[in-house]
Formats: sequence, C-alpha cells, structure tokens
Amino acid sequence: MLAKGVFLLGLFNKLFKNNKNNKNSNDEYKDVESPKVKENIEENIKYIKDMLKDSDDIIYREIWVGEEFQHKLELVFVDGLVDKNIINEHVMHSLMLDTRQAKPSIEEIKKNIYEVIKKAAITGGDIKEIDDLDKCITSILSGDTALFLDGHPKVVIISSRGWQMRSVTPPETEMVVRGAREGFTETLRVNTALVRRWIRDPKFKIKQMQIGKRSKTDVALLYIDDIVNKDLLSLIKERLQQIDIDGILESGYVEQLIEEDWHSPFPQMLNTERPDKVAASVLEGRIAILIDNSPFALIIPTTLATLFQSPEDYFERWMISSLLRILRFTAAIIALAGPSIYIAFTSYHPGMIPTKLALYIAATRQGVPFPAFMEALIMEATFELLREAGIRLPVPIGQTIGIVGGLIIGQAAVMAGIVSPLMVIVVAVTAVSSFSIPSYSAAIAFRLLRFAFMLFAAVLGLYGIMLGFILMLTHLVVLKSFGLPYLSPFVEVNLSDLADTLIRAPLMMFKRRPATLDTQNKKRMKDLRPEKIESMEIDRRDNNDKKQ
Amino acid sequence: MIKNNDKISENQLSILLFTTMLGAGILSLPSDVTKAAGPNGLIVILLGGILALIFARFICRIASIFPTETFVEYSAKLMTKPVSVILSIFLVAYFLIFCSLNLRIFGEVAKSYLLNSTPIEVIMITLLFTSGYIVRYGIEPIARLSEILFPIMVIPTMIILLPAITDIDLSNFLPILRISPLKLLKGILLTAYSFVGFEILYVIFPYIQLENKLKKSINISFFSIIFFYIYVTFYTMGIFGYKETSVQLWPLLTVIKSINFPGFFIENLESLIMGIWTFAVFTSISAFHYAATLSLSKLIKAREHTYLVIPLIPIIYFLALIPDSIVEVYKYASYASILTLFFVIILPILMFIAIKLRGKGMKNNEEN
Repeated sequence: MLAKGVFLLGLFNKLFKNNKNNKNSNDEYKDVESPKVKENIEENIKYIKDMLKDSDDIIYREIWVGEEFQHKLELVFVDGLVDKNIINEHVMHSLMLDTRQAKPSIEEIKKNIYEVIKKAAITGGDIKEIDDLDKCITSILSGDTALFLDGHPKVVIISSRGWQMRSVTPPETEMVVRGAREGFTETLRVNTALVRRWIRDPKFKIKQMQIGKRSKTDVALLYIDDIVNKDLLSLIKERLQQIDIDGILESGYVEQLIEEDWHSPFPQMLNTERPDKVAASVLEGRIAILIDNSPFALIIPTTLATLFQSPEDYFERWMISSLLRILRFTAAIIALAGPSIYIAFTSYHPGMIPTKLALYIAATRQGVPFPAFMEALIMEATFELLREAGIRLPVPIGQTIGIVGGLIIGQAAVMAGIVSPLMVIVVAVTAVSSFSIPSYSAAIAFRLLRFAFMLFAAVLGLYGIMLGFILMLTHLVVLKSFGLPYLSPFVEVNLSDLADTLIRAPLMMFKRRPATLDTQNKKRMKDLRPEKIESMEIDRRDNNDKKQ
Repeated sequence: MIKNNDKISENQLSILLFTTMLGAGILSLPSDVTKAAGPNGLIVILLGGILALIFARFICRIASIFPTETFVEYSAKLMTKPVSVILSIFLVAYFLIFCSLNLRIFGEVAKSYLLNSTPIEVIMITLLFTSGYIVRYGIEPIARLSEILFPIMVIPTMIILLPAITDIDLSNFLPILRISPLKLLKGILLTAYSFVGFEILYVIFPYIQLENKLKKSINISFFSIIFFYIYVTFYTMGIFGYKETSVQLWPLLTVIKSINFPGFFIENLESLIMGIWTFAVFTSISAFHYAATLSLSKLIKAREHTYLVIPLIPIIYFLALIPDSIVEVYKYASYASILTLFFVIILPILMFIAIKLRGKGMKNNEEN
C-alpha cells in the first residue's frame, strides 16, 4: 500500500524531473534577458526589424502627430492577422485626424503626449501597455498592433485580431437530432464565447495560459470556482505548466502530454466539439481545456461511463434515453467481442450453437479453406482498410465506399469461397456497433482490443474470451483519470451516481452533483415535483355547469 | 476523489469476502452436504454458515485489536516469535493449498465442459498468470474487480436456474432432522469447509477503511453466500433427491444441463455457466494468491509484495498437479479440510486465550 504510493510518487517525480532537466539543457530561446523598450523609437524599431527580418508580411507604418507633426509614432502589425478596419478607423484615423481637432492644451501636450494619445486618441476597445520587447513581438505575432512613441519607454498594444476563420458550423463528429447545432471553431476566443453563452455565472472562470515554446499557443482552463475540486484544479495547472514542447498543434498533444497512463488504449479525458457538452461538464464540477487552433475541447476527469453519454440523452425524456444507453453498452460489448464469440463458438464449442444454425454453419463453411480465426482476421483487416480509405476519399465517394463497398466486397469474398456468409454478417454488425459509441476515442480503443480478443478466442475459446475480459477489467480497474477511478461509479458503488450511467434516471433524481467528483457545492437542483394543479379540475367543472 | 489511499471500504470488503468464498467449491457442495446429512442438506448449510460467521467475527475481533498489523506481526506479539514464524509459514501454505485446490478443480471442470482437447496445464497456467497480473497491484484492484464481477456471475446463474423450478419435488426434502446429532455436527463441520475464504481477513485487515460498519458488512456477506448456497442446493436436491445428489460429482452442472430454453440462441447452457464461473474462481484464486504473497512478504520482510507474486506461481501450479485424477483431488480436499478446522476454529480460540492472558500487557501496547 505504502509502497504503491511511493511508487506513484516516484513516477510523478520522474515526470517532473524530466521536464526540469529539459529546461536547463537546451533553452537558448528563453535564457537571454528580454530587452526593455527604449525611449528612442529608432532603436526599438531596429530591434524589432532585426528579430522579424525576412518576414515580409510584417508592416511598419510611421505616423506623425501634433500641431507641427513633431511626434513620431510607429505602428507595427502583421498583415493577414489584423482586422484592417480597426487599424484604419480606430487607430490611424483617431491619431491622425481627431487629435488635431481635439485640442488639448499646449502644456498638456508638451508634458505628456503619450498619456493623451493613450487615453483620448485611440478609439479602439482593448489596449494595454508593456515595456518588454519580446512580449511585444509575441503580441504582434498573435495579431495585435504595437504602437511605439518616440521618447517614451513603453509601447501600447492595441487588440486588433481579425483573421479569416471558419464559421460556426454543426460539429461533424457529434451529431444530435435534438439539441444545439453549434460546434467549436479553431479560434479560442470564439470558442470561449460559445461556452459563455451557456453559463452566465460570474463564478465561471476562464483562465488562460500560453503553452509551447515556439507556438505560444493560448490554452484556456474553464471551471466554476465554487463547484470545482481545488486539488484537481491545481493538479491540472501544474501539469500544464510542466509541458515543455516546441509547439502544440492540437488538443491531442495536450491530452497526451498531461495524461497519467500513456500505456492504456483508453482515453483518460473526454474530447468534444460541442459547447453544450463542455458547459454541462463544467456545471457538474469538471474542468474543460480549450486550445487555440483546435475545435476539440478536453474535459477532465472522465470515467468509462461518460464515454457512453451523448448530450441528447439529457434533452430527450428518460425512458428512451435509458434504453438507448443500454443499447450503447450492448453495442460496446458486441464491438469488442463479436468476432471472438464467432471464432470461439465455431472452433471450440459448436455444441453451444442451436442445432439448426450449427448445421447451416457447417454446410457453409465446408468450402472455406481457412480456420475461423483466419477468416475473421481477413474480413476484419479488410474492413479496417476500407474504413481508413473512406476517410481520405472525397465525401461523395467516401460514403458509398464505406457501407456499400463493405457489403459488396464481403459478398464477392463469399462467392470466391474465402469467407463464409455468417462471417460477413458478424463483421458488419460489429462495425455498426462500434459506430454507435458516442466517443470516437473510446470506439478506437474497442477496435484495437477486438483483435486481442480474437487472438484469445482463437487460442482458448470461450475461456479465452473470459480471460480477456478479466485482463481488460483489471486494467480498467487500476486506471485512474486524474485521481478518479476510471470505472466509477460501478466501483465504489454509489447509487446516486449510477442513476446517470447504465440508465438515465428522470431529471428529478439529479438533485446532487456526481459524488465521485468530490465537489465543493453538492446540490444542483431543488426538489422538482410538479404540484398537483387542482385549479384545472375546478375550471372544467365550471364549464360543464355553464353548458347546462 | 484524489483522496485514494489504497484502502478498501467496508462495502467492498463484504463483496470481496463473498466472491472469495464463492469459488470452485460450490460445484460439489450439494453432493458433500447430502453425503453427510441426507435430506437435511439445507439446514446443515445454514448452520454451517452461521458457525463460519461466528468464527469470522472472532477473527475480526482479534484483528481489530491490532488494526495495522497482519497475522504475521500480531501473532509474534501474542505468541512467541518462533511459534509465530511456524504458524505464519503454515498460513502461507494454507493459502497456497486452497489456491491450488480451486485451480485444479476449475481446470478439471473446464476441461470436461468447456475445452475438451486443451491440456489442463494450459488452462491452469493461463489463469494463474492472469491472477498474477492483478495481484501485483494490491488488494484494492482485487476488491474493485470483485465488485464489478459480482453481479455478472451471480445474477445469470440465479436466473438460469429458474426454469428448473417446475421439476422440484418438495418431498425430496423430507424427512427433516431424522438424523443423529453427531452426524449433524459432522455435516456442519464439513460445510464450514465450503466457506473457506474468509481467512484472508487474517491478513487484509490493515487495508480496510474502518467506519464502524464492519460487523454489518461481514454479516451481510455471510448471509448472502448462505442464501446463494441454499438457493443452489435447493434446486439440486429438489430435482434429484438426496441419494442421487450425493453420488454426483458436480450436481450443479448436471442440473443446468437439464435446463432447456426453447428458442434461446445458446444451447449447452452449462458451458456458458462454466464460462461465467471463470470469474468466480478467478476472484477466489487471486484473493488467496494475494494473501499468500502478502503473508510471505511480511514474513521475509520484503519491501513490496510484488516481487513474490511470480515466484509463487510455479509453487501453486505444482501443488495443483500433485493429484493424479479428480478422485484424488477430492481426497486431498478432505485432508485440507482438517487444516481449515485448525485455522478457522482452533487458532482463533488459542489467540483469544493468549490475548486474555496477556490482557494488561496488550492494553499497554494499545495506549502506546
């Protein structure tokens, strides 16, 4: 027990130590002391031009303001990242034309043209001032505009981001019949705004940080301050700050860098394209991570049960949602063990198959040269190839190749005598089942394990499948997602949490937040019992009297 | 949530005890019981279970005086060190023997009903290595796994037996209690042997998160398993009668063989049940394996028990290969039941006496 704790601590330490070593050894980029903004505008501009030389999309615009054009200002921005409107209307127009009309007194101008410009001249919304040239360069490269003033040791950063982005479209990987049709885009600010539309609580916090030495990707942590478990929050912040990598290209990078068990095929955090899923998780007490340039948000922590939940379950009523949930669990088992059961029953336990079917299988398998395992392997491998190919083909062809192609190839294979017809059906049903799992990452895990189960079934039949289940369950039982056992609430059984996993209990039973998350604020809903409306009966009686 | 401390809760303890006791013994339980006590099988199971419960509570009482120590350590305090060392070695051997018994019986059944042409050695080795995989992680994963496997193995078995209700002849349970008390007593002691499994309490006590519900959880666990045994024996004795049941090797499987769900998509239900039963045997084996590993590691003062998991596997394997046939297996099982007598009944009494004798000395230790 103690030893296990020590072992885990050792693992943590190893993770942290590695990162620290990396920081010390090859850190040419950050160790140099970042220069401060000088008073002479020419020196500042020279530094920036030096750092950003050979980048022809950076624009340097000189302006002179004042009654006799005696003060020199310079704007630096990146063409393509900025909204030209803001620069033209709000910055340059205000600075060049309006200052001449504003007429502050001559003493004020002589004393502090900078304050005048900063406070009165720029009509844009979001400005701040910094004195660090490297931070200034990072801002310029993120799409802000830098305004240098000759004779002043500070630079004004004006927010002017406006680049071409994909409009908000329905999420492609998580369609629902009933529910919002907005999905995340690749711009962080748009995504955070989408989530804010669901939660208007001042305690809902969006904390940003930059990760990635060269990409300096904006990463936002979303949580509700008085619900979330503080230990979890600090753990995640620590893990994020420990990331030491050149560039973060997608949320998948962050996921793989902060997860605890990278051996496991199972995802330890949920990824989603839907803002309503993010909002719902945050309200439960989980933490969401949004990453710039990625439409996939990460939700921490997660359990196996959440991988089977779809937002639609909550928008529809409980009976149908419960049945659909049970269907999904069954689908997962079929996706996992479908071909293995076929192999086990035909090779080892033909007595267990109903007699008529057994005779039919014997008849159809007579011409097949391969044993059941090879047959299954061939069909499964072909199907995986078809699936992978279908992703890369353009949409019109891709759809048809997937389903029709699979069936036609299967039929042709049957006629060629390579596989038996029952095998084609088993593979088709397995594939369809694996598509019904809401989370794509979980579906991939089951696809992978399916082959391991096939191997077990081929060697040891039904007993092998049972051993395979035991091994998989052992792994799941030990797996933890940021301290939360992966199989909660089946393990450490908590009846109130179970109401949301195998079935979806009526909303009235969701009065408390999931107990396993150990949140600060436990209650989420008041007693919701619709009161009997007695007045309606009285009205009807009155109407009847009136009729008579 | 992040407060995980490698301890099992008391709910998990009751499920763990249930699944550990429910091993390969249940297959032959009805025949043992009817051989000893004729038509009074059900009563004997009930009384045997209550006897086992009393002694389980006894062990608990003793262990709770030393809540952070396993048997190896507190027996050294109660009896002298050399005696304790010998007793601990016997305890390790005890766990290993029962582990291998379960393994061998399961191997025989699996070979007969599931995998006819696979060598029994393969079946046993694979199960042992799977057990080794989970034992390396400690008691908490074993308890969690039991929690998950518990409904999967119990509920299908109980449901599958239901159609056989039409064949039950209640006159098979008569005459009641027309049996000499001595024979009844022998029967009770024999059934207490079917409840083997709770001795792991000797060693896992330090890993239980005590919340003052210990007695209740042990009661629940024992009464559940008594109920389950009675349920199964009720069906076997009701359908076959006590004379027939006593001559069969695995009456439970014979009953399931006779059940036929018309139109169901699986025909030989007993193979399915054997597949599901793998879980029950697995939980027993891994619990015993863990108890043996833990005791041995405390005995030789190893830092972690994980080093000893793999070395014990060949020992269990060879112990399981000692009997030559199923007949010899049950012969050895009856010898092993004598060991049970010692560890479950005699040893707790001795230790209790030792506690009383050293009464004041123990109290001083507790205050420290």
